[in-house]
Amino acid sequence: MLTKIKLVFLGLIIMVSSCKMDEETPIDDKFDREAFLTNYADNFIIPGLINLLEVSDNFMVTAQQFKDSGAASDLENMRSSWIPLYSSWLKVVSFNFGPAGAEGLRRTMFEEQGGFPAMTELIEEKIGSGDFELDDSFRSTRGLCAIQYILFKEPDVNTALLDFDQSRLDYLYAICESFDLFIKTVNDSWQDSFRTEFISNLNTNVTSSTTRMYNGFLMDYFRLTEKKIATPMGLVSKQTEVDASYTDVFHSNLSGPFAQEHFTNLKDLFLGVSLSGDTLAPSWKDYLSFSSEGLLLAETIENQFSTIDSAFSFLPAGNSMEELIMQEDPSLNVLLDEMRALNHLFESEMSSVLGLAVTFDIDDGD
Amino acid sequence: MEIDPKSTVLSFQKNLFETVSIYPLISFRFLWGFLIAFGTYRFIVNGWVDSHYIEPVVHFTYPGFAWLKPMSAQLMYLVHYLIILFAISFALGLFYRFSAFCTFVLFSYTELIDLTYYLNHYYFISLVSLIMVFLPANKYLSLDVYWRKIKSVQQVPFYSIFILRFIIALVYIYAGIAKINVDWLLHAMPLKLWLPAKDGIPFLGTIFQLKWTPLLFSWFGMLFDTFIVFFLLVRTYRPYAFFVLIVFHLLTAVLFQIGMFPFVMIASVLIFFSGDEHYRFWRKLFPSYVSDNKKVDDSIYFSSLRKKIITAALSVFIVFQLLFPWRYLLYKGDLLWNERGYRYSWRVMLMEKSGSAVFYLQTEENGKKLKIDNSDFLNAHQEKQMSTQPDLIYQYVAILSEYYKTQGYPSPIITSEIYITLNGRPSKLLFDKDIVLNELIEYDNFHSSMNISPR
Repeated sequence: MLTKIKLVFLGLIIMVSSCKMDEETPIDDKFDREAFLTNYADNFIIPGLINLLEVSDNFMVTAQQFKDSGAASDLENMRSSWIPLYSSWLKVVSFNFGPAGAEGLRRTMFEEQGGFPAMTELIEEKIGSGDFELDDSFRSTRGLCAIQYILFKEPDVNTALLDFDQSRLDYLYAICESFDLFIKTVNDSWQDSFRTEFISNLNTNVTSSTTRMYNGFLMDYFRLTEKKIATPMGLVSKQTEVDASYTDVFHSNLSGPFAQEHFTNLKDLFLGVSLSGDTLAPSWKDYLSFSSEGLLLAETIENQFSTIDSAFSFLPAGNSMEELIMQEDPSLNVLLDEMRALNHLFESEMSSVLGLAVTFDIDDGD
Repeated sequence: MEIDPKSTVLSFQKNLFETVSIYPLISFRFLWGFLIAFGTYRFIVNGWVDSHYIEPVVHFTYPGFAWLKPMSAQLMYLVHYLIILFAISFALGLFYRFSAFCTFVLFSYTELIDLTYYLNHYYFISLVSLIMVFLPANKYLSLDVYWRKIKSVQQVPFYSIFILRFIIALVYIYAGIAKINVDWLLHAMPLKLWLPAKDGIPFLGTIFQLKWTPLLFSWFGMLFDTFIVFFLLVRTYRPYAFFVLIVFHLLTAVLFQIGMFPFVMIASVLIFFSGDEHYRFWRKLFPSYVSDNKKVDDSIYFSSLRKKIITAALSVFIVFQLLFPWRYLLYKGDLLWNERGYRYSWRVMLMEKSGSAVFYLQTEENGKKLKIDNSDFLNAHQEKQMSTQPDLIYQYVAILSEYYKTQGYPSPIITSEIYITLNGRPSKLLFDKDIVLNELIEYDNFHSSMNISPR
């Protein structure tokens, strides 16, 4: 009997060994996660950061000019160049990990440079006191939304200029510079070494590149639906009153176009549409479509994208989102419902099909 | 062939009180105590005392244990340090019964505070720790013998070994039986989802990508769980079975985040090795202390009444453990969906279930449908568990309802959008969106209002 058992074990070992050695065994089920990560690193993240840094550098030129001159034309220039800056920011903000992640006392890229709504009273206090503390915990006194507040809080340029004393000019420049330096650090780190680390971390555990990118994507979508749209609409338990100032860029009156752009970016990210407009594989959609369970899910998500695009197009023309929020326009509720319909597809089904853990604390201190 | 119940009982009782070597019990005591101590140390180091007991705003309670609350941070840490202390004392056989009892009580207390942290192996540890209180595991190679000078013996009644083997066997066999279902055996679910996600593991990752691997692993897992104990019982097969068992559990340790479970099981099954095998191990370790005489004392010869009491207690325990996992048959619906009767039944790593639970509040005062931010009440782990388990959803709705009543909304209306996906299927709503969940609780028709099945 013992001999038979030994033979069975020997047989099993030979079987397993032959599986390992047989070069012709079809490994046709393998999803190339390295190619997937490489695609995102080389066609989305790094070009996105390079583009953001270029735009930020241009923005810094206008900031310097305005600081030096305090002239209306330079304020207008600065306002104009802030718009592509925020647009470029929205293309990379979901990659809020790795060099953009929290490190020691420094919080994530989003928290440090993208927090909203801007803490307007504290910003005024800082400007008034001349104490430009750039490392305190009041992070929404700096970053892009704070810059937006200072630039756009008074729509009329000439009236706005009345407020721009030296302290305000200095503070504005300081937070612009802080943003530029932050992005430069993140960009350098990606190009120096993190790219290699990112594309070689092929696991799917909680610290893996795939899981971190997935969670960044989820968190960003959550910010868009719940923080930028539902909260100002007064439709969350923490904020029951309608208040458009809870949008990210309330003072610029551009919340609507940027919300749509933010959505389009996340959609493109999922579908693999790169900055250049080319659809590059393998994307999240390709990853999902690799299994029969995921294929159906990818189709469902794509269909829902179209529905949301339609909901955006049905928003009344001629009104800003800020106005629609204050008017409690029902078309915004339709849009929000359709956007929220993606939540469970992203959060539970995608997580389940891809074997990725949802790790983020949904209330990350926004 | 006719079976005479009376003689069967007598024969069973006679076997239970046959004397056998104490060495397997000593090994078990030693490993078990140190594993609990190490596991608790790991728990503290990972910061789980704070995240599990101190930081959460609310706790989900076990039926009948709602009165059990976490204490202050200092006391909760003290409880964990005491578990380590008593577990080590238990392992060394010092004030054995007291240490075993305190280990059981304190460990169970920590586990009973919050239902979202339920794990099969925590339940297993509580159960076995309770059993150990009653076993004479300190009668040899213990500090009670060397310091406290209690009488030492090298033979113990067979029931001491049998009851441990029984509960371990039950874990494996019931885990195996639970895997005999269409999803597991025919669709290779959930391994079909889990294994490809682990393709980054050197060498094994390549195997995990093969089409047939999930199905092969599913069948192997079922067969392993169901039959491994029978191979462990036969001396000839035991070393091979143990080798396979180690490989199996180490593989699960690599693949899944299941903490101490693989190591607890590897250590536990050593109880299936014979007294001689354990003796040889201890003899090598402590040659000057370990002898092979079959020393006994009167304490292991029980009166007829005591034997009857022990036999009855064992029988009740065994019958309860055999039947309790089948209670799910009393409930309507799909077990994996409603999870009624799922816990305490050794269903280990059986399904991939994920959920997204959104709750809305409507009040007469406001009129709007407000999304409730779950993170106001729950930590990420609690929310994740709650979003797929109906009894936790029940508790959460009750918590929300009470909370909003105290916030000046005497008649809150709580509705939901709870999507759950099971084994890769498209997600389904657990309740229709317009159902008022807190009314269901009030009128006691929560479970009957759930949508029936995910399939």
